[in-house]
Amino acid sequence: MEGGSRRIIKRADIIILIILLAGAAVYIAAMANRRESAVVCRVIYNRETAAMLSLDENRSFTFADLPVRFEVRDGRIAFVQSDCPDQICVDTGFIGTPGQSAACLPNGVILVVEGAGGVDAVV
Amino acid sequence: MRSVKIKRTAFMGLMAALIAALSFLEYVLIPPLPGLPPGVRLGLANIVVMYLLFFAGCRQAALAAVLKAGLALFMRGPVAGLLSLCGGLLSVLVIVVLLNIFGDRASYVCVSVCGACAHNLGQLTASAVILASGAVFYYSPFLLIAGIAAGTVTGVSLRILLPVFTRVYDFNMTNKAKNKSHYTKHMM
Repeated sequence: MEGGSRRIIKRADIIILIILLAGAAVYIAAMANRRESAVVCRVIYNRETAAMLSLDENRSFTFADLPVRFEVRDGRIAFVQSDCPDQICVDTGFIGTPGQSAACLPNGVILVVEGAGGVDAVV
Repeated sequence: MRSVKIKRTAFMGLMAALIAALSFLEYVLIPPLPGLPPGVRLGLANIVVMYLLFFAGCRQAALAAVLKAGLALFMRGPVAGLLSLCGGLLSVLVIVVLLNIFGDRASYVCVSVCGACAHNLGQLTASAVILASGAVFYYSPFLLIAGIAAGTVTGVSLRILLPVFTRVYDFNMTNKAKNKSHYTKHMM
């Protein structure tokens, strides 16, 4: 068979995979730890900041001409309704940790959670 | 000569149909995995793209990636199509580079995992460009983990399905000498 000497998996692969997984896990843990008491949410529409929202008060609302609906609950925010085909924004669910974001690409709307004291650049 | 060309076209048609079937199956049968960012899927159709990369050539594989993106365009809209195209082509590029450097020493799982991670990062970069915002890169470690998991599954699946693929290829390419040809001979 063609490429017959090719193996399914090698010992080196397993080591590389474990190192990669551990690295990603540490990174995720570090991000989750960075909790701040006060967070705000930046709403970006068509590449521009459309609003800065406080997440203190529970509410469900929509912006004038956007075909999406947001909900704020217990210091977190989510897309709860959107007219887009893939619904990835709605599936993202509630976000409330600085750096977390939810995006609706078809509508060009992003929610970015930020620490109230200033923004950590997330790159 | 002409019949070989026809057989090749038929073979690619068969592969495209397989991509469509696998994409649809995955979309319908497999629910989104909990704990991972939304939109993360297994990428079963990439088994076909990888098979083409290993045994047909990178042009065929790139064509398959484009066909897969076209399918996403019709099934899930223009944004999904564009993301699929960026992810698919980057993944093909990364695998071609890997195969050129390591050849047979690169295992199926290694190639598949690198391809899946490249696919995810390509999609993430494309969405960052569309949104003109780096905010989505928050999800890169999650997508890396998803790529490792999905890449392992698709890589092992490819190895298991290889005898089936080879039978189809034999059926299409009556010229036995062609079957012996290794992917490196087809590299651009």
